[in-house]
Amino acid sequence: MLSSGRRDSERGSVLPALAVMTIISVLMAGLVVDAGFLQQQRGQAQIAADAAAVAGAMELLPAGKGSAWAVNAAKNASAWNGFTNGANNTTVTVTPNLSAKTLTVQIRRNAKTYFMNMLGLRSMPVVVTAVAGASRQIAQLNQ
Amino acid sequence: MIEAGLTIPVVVLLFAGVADVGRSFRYYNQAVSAARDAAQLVFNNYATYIGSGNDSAITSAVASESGALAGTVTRFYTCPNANGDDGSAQYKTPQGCSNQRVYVRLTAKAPFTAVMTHSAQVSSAAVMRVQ
Repeated sequence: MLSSGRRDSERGSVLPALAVMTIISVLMAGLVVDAGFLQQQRGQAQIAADAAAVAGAMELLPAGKGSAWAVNAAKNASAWNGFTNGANNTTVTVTPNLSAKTLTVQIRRNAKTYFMNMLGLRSMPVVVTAVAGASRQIAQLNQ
Repeated sequence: MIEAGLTIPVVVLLFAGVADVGRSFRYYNQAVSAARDAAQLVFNNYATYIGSGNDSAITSAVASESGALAGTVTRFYTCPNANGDDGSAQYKTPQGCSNQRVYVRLTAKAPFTAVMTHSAQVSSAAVMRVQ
């Protein structure tokens, strides 16, 4: 049986422990939420990169207008998917290869963080790449 | 006992919230995959789905590609300038301009039952140039 003195010394010890555990839980939940948001951004960016590569490659077809149009078409398609070059910390790089008839699109966005911000990480880079090739009649995404 | 009574509801709420957020991420990723796959499907079968003007065939293809998700399809047209830039104008009907571009917007929606809010829905869209 505990003496009353020992009980007195343990009184109130649960609350600080729970407070520490709660803070750790909130921080972990925050990291998970941020990671989820980054994953979301990556998924949408990949959609935009795929669409941009295909849209640009269509201009490399025989009936297309060439590399300058391919670059603009790719950037347009990326923008229609929410990733406009030069906006929202987003850079869209389009590289046509006329000899290989391929077009590479890289989308880079410095995505804002919410909870990681408290730890000093204000943004995290999300970088995706897609390559599309133009055969004689159709543009095709290279997986 | 009092401390536990105060903190347990907070912890339970916290975990319920985290569970909902986690599930929304899961369904969102499913919607993203569906939109992406459906966009590629429609692009690769342009003549069948778009060329025929058969929107119900496109919707069926999206629904099929996205499993249980609901899919919607809309299309729009642009008229690029001399540099091949679309600008910001989207048209719902063909404009007949030279070098007109045709885009298809595919939206995949994933409804789910959330712990905190009963029902929720996440969606993802893909815009694909088809012509």
